[in-house]
Amino acid sequence: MFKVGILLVLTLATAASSFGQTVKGSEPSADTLIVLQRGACEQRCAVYRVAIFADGTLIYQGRHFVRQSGLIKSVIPVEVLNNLIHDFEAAGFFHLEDSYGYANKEHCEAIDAGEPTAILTFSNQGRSKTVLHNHGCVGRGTKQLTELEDKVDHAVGTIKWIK
Amino acid sequence: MAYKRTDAVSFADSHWNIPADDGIFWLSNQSVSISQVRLHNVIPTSSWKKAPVGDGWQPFFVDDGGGGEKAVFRRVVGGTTEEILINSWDGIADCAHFLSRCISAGGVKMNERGVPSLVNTLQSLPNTKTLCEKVVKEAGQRVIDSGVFKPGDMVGYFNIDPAGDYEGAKQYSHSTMYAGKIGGKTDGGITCHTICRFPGRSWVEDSWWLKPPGHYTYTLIHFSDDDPTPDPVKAAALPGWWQLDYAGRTEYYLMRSGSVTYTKKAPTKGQTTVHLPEGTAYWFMAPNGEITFTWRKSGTVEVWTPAGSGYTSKINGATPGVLTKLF
Repeated sequence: MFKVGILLVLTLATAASSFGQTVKGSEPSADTLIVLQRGACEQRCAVYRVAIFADGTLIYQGRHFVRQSGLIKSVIPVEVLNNLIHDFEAAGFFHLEDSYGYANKEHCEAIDAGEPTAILTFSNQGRSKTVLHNHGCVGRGTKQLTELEDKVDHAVGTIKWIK
Repeated sequence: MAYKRTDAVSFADSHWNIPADDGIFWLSNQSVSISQVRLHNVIPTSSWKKAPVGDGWQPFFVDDGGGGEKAVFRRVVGGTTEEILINSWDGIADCAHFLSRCISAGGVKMNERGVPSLVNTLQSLPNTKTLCEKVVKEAGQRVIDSGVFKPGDMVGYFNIDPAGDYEGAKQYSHSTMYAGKIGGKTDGGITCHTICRFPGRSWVEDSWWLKPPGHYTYTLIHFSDDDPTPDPVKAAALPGWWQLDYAGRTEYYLMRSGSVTYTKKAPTKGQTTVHLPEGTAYWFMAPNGEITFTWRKSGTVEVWTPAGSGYTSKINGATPGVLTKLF
């Protein structure tokens, strides 16, 4: 259901941007969406998803090894979201590879098994990209990704729901 | 009931990559009954399909191609393997349950789901000895190489990595059963679930230490039912106080039947206890009279070799010591 919802949002957002919506001042564009999904690992990592929408609304879904299971709706200040958008742009997110890990080992100096995979989606101003990052993959680009993932967590404050 | 370690290892061998004999495996938040999930979408999973036994479907844990594992039904039709997903890597947590089944197969009934409770229960059994507790890899390896620790014994993994297991919680987070120096494992291999391992067959690291230093400290728990019985005459000469001089240090051992404590303070005649001992160990006498000590806190392995009417000591295979029986 959550995936379907995100897909719907993505579709609507893309459609909206194609009709010429523009960013006004410091407000994020209406199609802005940031989704972080953290997957399982052998060390019992917290498995959860968090989606942040253009107005700062966020939805967290705790799945496994988390303090708070299920769905939580919350909100972050638009300034915090703007900072995140800036971080994604500064990191050149739209120019990263689609995958760092088993599906694309080219950018991994080595891959450690059992590490979690994080999937990060960023949509903004008619652009959208999803990057799959297996944390066992150490190499170019992965440090930036890890930092972005952590910044999303930090902005949302997910730690209060997982630890 | 005495623990039959070969039965436990044999069980692990035959169930290393399939659900245990009770027909369930555990996710973080629920058990999954294989018989139920064959016919009903109990987890639920979006891609679920019926997988009747009569149609040849069998449950396995398999490599998911992304560094983890997944639970699936598989069958081979016309040389082609077909697969139905039971559960992806997310949430599988079957290690303590699997080990409980292995130990039960060895004759010691156990039903633990969590690793901390499994370790606690194992340490509390009258027929187990904790050879070393929360020690580093090198120390654990010494204990394994001593030969006292055997296939069928258990390893507890205590997380020390702030970014590690269960979001860095400092607790026992994983458990495995030692399977021995087989399958090309010179350090010693282990068997477990989540991720499935058996030496020589695993698709991930299955040396007993699992991770490079900095992730875990290790607790080695030994079932003692089949330990060699000490020679009664030689064993009778051991209890009492001994002085060990080695590497410029002097320590005093209070030997008891099967165990020892040590202190740096010289004892007085007639003293029968050690207040705040520096360390404790179990000792094991081989048929040739050699005595091996495994010091719990440090993982130090000390060997006393018969020499004349007494013994010589060697610590961690290198440092010689001089022993004197005091009183």
